[in-house]
Amino acid sequence: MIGVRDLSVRFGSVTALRGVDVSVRPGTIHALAGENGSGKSTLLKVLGGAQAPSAGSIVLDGSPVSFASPVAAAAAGVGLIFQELSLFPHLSGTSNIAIGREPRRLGLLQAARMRREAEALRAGFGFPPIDLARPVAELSVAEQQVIEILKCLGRSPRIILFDEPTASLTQKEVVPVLATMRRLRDAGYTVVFVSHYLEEVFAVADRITVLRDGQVTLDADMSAIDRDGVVAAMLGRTLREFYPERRDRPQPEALVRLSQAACDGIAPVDLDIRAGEVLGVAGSVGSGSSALGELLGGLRPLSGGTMSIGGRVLAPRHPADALRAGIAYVPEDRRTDALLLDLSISTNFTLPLVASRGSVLVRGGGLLDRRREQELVRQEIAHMDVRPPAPGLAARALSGGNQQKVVLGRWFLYDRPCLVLNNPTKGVDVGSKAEIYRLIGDLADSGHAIVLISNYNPELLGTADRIIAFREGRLVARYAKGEVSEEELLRTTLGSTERASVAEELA
Amino acid sequence: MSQEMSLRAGLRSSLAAVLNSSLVAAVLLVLVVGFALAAPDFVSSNNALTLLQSVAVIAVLAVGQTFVIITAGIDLSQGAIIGLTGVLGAGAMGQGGAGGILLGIAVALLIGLGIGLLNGFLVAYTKVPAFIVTLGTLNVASGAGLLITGGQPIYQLPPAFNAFGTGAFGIFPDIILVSLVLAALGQILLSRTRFGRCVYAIGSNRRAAALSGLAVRRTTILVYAMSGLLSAIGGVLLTAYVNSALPTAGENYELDSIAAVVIGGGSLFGGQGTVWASMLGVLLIGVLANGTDLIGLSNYAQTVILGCVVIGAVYVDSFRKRVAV
Repeated sequence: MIGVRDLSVRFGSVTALRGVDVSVRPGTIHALAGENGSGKSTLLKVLGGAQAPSAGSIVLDGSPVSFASPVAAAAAGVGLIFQELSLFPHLSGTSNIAIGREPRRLGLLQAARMRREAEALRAGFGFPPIDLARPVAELSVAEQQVIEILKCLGRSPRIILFDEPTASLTQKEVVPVLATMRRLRDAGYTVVFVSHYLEEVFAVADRITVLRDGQVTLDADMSAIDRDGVVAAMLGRTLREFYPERRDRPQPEALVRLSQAACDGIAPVDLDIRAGEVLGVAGSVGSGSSALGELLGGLRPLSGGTMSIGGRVLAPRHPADALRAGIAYVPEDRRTDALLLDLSISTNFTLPLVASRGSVLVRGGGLLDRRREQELVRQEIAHMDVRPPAPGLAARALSGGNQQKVVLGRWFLYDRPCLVLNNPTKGVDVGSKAEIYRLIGDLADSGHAIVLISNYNPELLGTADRIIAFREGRLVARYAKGEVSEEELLRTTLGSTERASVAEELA
Repeated sequence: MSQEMSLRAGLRSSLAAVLNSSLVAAVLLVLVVGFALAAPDFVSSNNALTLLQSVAVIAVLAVGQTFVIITAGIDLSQGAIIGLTGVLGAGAMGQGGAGGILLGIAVALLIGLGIGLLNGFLVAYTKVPAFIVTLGTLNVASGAGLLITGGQPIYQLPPAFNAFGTGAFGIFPDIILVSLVLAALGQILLSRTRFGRCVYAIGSNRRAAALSGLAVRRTTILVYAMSGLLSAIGGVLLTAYVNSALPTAGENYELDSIAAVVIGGGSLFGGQGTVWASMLGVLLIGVLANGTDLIGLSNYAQTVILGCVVIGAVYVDSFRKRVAV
């Protein structure tokens, strides 16, 4: 049995956890849930020895213990699998699994034995074959995750802690991870995991602890509660109008039109994108849904067919071409692809507007109109409700949800008729998600054409006026609003072969 | 809760930023006071002008280097451009009058601009890192200068040209005025124009800049072209000042300009730095050299001290990065 008793964690004057009591029964899967900043990941880190408690203690098999480090926790039989994979990208799967406890003879590595042991570990836990000799950077994210799990299992833990194990996986890749957790439990291990996705929690967990503002708001067996109860515990209120009511019907004529348009990753496709609508694009990673976004945004060149906007033919070679024509692409990874992390909120907000031709912020000689800029930024900070409302603050200092508000706010300042959003709510807490859905609805209602690419089907079903689905580079289905169920959309994006296992998994 | 944390992080990072640039100013002040006490000659107006004159060329280079470093690049070819443009410009001047002088200056500036454009083009369109590209052009330019002159200096320059190099406007020597004007223009370009904003954006996140519609390649090329042009201007100033052109005249100048930018808080990872802070760095280098000279330290000792100062400055910079996270 592992748990915590009267646990508090403070970072300076900020309290992340306050008087938390949790106990995990052996041989069960225990979920930790809560919004971003609720303290759930901090709790997991304390259990895994990666964060020292400010007060209170960890309880292992009935007696209080303290872990100086994850290594000390591992020695006590507690293995922590971090959210950000902690593998060495240039080393092979075998080397990663054995790292720090490599079999040696006379100080030399026993490569063959290392390979055998890694292979035996994989087969013993029933994972599908992976090329363990390749550098892990060449493996898929899902395969890297398996390596990460094997690395942990190789240290023979009794208790395994997963920090958001599915955050960077597609729905198709999630299924085997959930199956792994079940297998581990059935083999007698105790599993604790943090997740943003209630579907997963309900699919595998035996018990759940919900945290809000560093305190436990729900601690119950899964059989005793329902979805609404969990959401209420997470938010402190029931989630009304999570997805926005849409006012207007989409206009009938197309703003952006693709005719037999093709690019690297997409077979020829015919598609109309109408002003005033939210077009949902479903598909797992590599299905072509992101490629469609990159095609529209000028990141992937058109290799066949035509693309037009407002009746004018367009073949963008750079994002700047697409922007000038009226299409803005908002990438999935805001930290690596969208934000200037060390520059101010102000500079981040106005960048596309400043860069645009004939910008209202640029006077003769390329001089910036800084007074006007400050004024616009102040308005936009208020409009997007960015917190803290400090224009000079570096973007790095903002929380994920607030960073995403800055990224989206750019396109209110530099108004483009067509916005392509790639997974805009990824890694964002539930409260900010609702706000982003509302902004998407507002943009469409004000006549913008919104292309919403998402790997998360419930949000497509909740916000989109139409949904198209991609699989293996092809547009395989089109649905009007309300025409498709979550299960059917998932089956469409996954293809018929996986149908049985997924339906079973979600049942 | 997270809000409170962000606000605190933000306050700490801006506090640290101020601390960093004012730290350079504070160190500068301490040095000035120290040298003034140790060597009374240090504070004479004559010595002050000598000091400024000695770093005028480095100041001009540091303006260009600041732009390059903010884009997360580096320009190692500056010193070699000084040498090459100095001898070619001097050669083109011959013994001519005003016409010859202007021709010589034009030749020097065009060659500097050309090498800068080549640097920029290679950095923007190939995957060769800026360090390697400019190391290559450093060698090409310095080798070309030696080939053309056979390693010999050029002495006979038009008297009017040297009169400009050693002349003064009122009490202010011409070359100091030129470098001040260029630094002021550079700071305005960097902080007040769209181009300057693009320079910061590219250095901070190249991909985000492209997705925001910035002309990333064009800006990169312009930044290196500017650095090449400013190096040539530095070459012209140096030639006029010393009244001779030597193919090796600019050797290692690029290291001083990089040091000045880094001391001023410019980050080699890009997105950070200002021209005025780099000028503080230039001043610090000048004060160190001049002051240690006056108190009788050897040139060799000066170099050791400068090296320590550069590492100390980057240490302060890394400290600032850490608290800004």
